[in-house]
Amino acid sequence: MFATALSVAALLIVFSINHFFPAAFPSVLFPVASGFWRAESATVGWFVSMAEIVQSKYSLVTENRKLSAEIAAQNRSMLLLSALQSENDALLRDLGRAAKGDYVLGAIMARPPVSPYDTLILDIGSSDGVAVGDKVYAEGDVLVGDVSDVFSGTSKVSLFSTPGRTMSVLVGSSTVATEATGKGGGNFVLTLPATTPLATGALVRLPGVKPHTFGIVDRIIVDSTDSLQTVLFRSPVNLSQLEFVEVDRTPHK
Amino acid sequence: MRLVFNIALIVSLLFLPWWAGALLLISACMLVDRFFEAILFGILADAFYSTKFGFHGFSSAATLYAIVVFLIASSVRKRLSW
Repeated sequence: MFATALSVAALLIVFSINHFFPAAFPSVLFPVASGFWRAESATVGWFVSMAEIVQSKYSLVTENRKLSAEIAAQNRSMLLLSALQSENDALLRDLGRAAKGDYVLGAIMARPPVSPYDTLILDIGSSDGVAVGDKVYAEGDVLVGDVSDVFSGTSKVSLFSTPGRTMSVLVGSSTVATEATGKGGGNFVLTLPATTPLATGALVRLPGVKPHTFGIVDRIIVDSTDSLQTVLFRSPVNLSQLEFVEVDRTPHK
Repeated sequence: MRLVFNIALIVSLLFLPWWAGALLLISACMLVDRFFEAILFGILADAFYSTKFGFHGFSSAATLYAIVVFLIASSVRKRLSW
């Protein structure tokens, strides 16, 4: 009986510390855990390269041809994209609205589905100039979340797809901002009037001078009796396979 | 048994998908008598991964899950003989 009471009291104390001082445990435990996470990344990387070595040569040649064709097709699209990007940058510079980003690369130590809360743990922290509220980008231009907690050598990123988190977005060619709600795992939901023209694959952007890709429309549910349509969209990056992200350290206003 | 579950839960907290840890937690509470550590693992999961946005705004979901599993498992264990 005494042991039970003691255990309950100890758990209450631990819970209270974590509830009232949320940075207390992570600041002590992250330096220990990050050693394990780094070791895990190295071990998994070794196993993956070993698995690649034992793959059959035929499948490698086939994959090589397929990838070469894809790269050639993407290079053609990139020519147009880089021309448009340069034109956009020049226009913004002329208008005095050039976006100056101060990016730092961070390796992801823990990600969903290990994290039940749609958070990322990065190997960069306050010692690298990261601050709470810094925006986090994946694969260059895709905005995935913002920094919610910072420790000396690690930081916690809250993804925008966190269940229940809301964001103001622009869907397709529309210039009317609408509210999207996170559903976890890079998925979102929003509602629009049923009369708004929209197709699967439409781009979802964030309002701002420099548009950032936010998501791609995956499914549209229209009920004939309803005046609204439910739009399901997802982030274009696979969050569970991300290895690196970029953190924009530009001071926010 | 208790030690094995503790090690498995530490590993799952750091490396395995959250649902694997959730299943391990149920197993541990069902098979080990008074597995109070379950609640500690819930608090640690919140400390590691939760943010102010939490899960639909609730940032202690893992702790709550651990408490519920612990209480249900304790109640079931009382009614069963292994």
